[in-house]
Amino acid sequence: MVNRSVGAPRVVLARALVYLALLAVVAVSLFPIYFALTTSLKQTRDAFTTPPTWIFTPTLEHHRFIWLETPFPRYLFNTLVITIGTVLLSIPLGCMAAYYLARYRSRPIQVLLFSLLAVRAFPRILLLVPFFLVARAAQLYDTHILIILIIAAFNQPFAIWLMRGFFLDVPRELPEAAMIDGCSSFQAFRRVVLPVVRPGVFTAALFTFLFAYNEFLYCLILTGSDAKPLSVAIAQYGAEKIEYWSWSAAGAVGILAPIVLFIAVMQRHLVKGLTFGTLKG
Amino acid sequence: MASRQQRRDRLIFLVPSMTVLAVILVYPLAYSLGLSFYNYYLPVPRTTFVGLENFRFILADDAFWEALGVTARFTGAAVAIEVVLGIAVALLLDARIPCRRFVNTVVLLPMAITPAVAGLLMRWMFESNWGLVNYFLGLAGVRGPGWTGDPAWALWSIILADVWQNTPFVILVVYAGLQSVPVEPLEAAMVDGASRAQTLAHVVFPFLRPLVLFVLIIRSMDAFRIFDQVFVMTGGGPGTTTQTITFYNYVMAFRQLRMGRASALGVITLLILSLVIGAWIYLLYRREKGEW
Repeated sequence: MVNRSVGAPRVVLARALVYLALLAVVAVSLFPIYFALTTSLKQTRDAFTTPPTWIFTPTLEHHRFIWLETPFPRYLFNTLVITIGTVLLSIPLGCMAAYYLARYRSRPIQVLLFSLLAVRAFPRILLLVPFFLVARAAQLYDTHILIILIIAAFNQPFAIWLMRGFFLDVPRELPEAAMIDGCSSFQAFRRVVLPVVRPGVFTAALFTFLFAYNEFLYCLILTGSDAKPLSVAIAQYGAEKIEYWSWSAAGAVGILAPIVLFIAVMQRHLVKGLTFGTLKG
Repeated sequence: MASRQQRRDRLIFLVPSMTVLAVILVYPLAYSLGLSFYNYYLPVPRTTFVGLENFRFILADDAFWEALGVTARFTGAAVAIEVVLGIAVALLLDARIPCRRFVNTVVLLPMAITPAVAGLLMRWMFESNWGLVNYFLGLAGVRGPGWTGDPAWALWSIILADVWQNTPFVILVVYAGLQSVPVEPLEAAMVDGASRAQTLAHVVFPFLRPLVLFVLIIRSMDAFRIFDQVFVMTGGGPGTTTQTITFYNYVMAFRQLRMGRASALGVITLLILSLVIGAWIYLLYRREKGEW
């Protein structure tokens, strides 16, 4: 069918229009990132001109500055502690809960599953005041553990829904057989079921990582100089001098790089992860 | 009714996760509800019970209604554009195209970007003097507005920024849906000599309907509480023209330091959101009961 229609002028035109439109979409998607990248590599005097300088001698000066002469490495460290901590807390808890919720059916379990969805709609700002007040009273303000606990809790519905989808695909006989062979309930889960759903755990972990990596509002209020992550640092980076724009572009590129890598790696798993696992119901 | 085995499993598997949820989400929620009946100005370490005074204040507060209007306009415009554009791009991607994997990856990229950083990128794009949006508009012979600095256009800057970042989500879901359109009706339509437009309207769109509704609800919920991009792009300004509900709540709590009042605003937001989303889900899904 394709071969037959290639010759028809109308079809060729339609095809060209589709390609052109897609090209525009790709260009618009990439352009802001391209702009940040080039700005971070330009001398400041080349960066902010009209018309824009398209050809320039690249410099790594701004990247060097931001990573060697500002506290950015410290913020990166905080981001890493928060993201890794969140994954380590959130994924085991979420997997276990998902396993239970996939294994048993009842009315209360249905209700629980849908109440979990409601967490996604929740106006997060409502909890900001109590978090702040309790954190201050409990001397948890500006600590990694506080942020980890909060993000892990908000991530539970996602981890549970996603992992439940994977556990539903595991035959019930598998853990039951293991238990007849003398495993405890937990051993059957840990040694028999979990290895089967490893790809799911991987997907859940990476998306949880991204979720923690991108968190802004809670970190903005609940961290100060000690636990502040990259996302907040870059947003607060001053703009008094024109060089700041070059520096923040370098910082932005530093933050974006892992995400671009993430998307490239996760291409196949995007649908499952990014749609909150709800498509499967 | 639950067997001994189930009760034991519940304790081992479910209780830890639910404990974290209860401590981190449910307890502060209750705290917040309680606080909304108190006058609590942070610098003064004393709270006084004021009943519904905070609620009365907010409902009589012009800034609240303005913020609600800004949020409604933002949500309506952003979600409408994203859904229409997203469906269109998903249909384009569904055509036979070269380097499909690369194109798919690139098109989805913006949604994974840290919202605060996306806001920063967009602030640069919309900068009125050397920003590229105005540069390209200039090439087309249009004199671009001041965008984030112009009261008439600031909200549009944020809407367009949100469109850039979140249209990919719509594309993703609709595109996934298109991959699973059942083959038989498509073939039947082809055999019957239906045009591409007819096939779309009578076979593909009805199949996509639940997915589009799902996207509409998810996107509306997220758009309603936008904060990060506002914080980075305009800080709620110029004046209060881009002050959304969440942003106003933030200002109330952490600039005006009115903790009780801010809690009340949070509770009001929760009520509005529940009502709107509830009504919406009811209306949208009424015709397809049980089709979650």
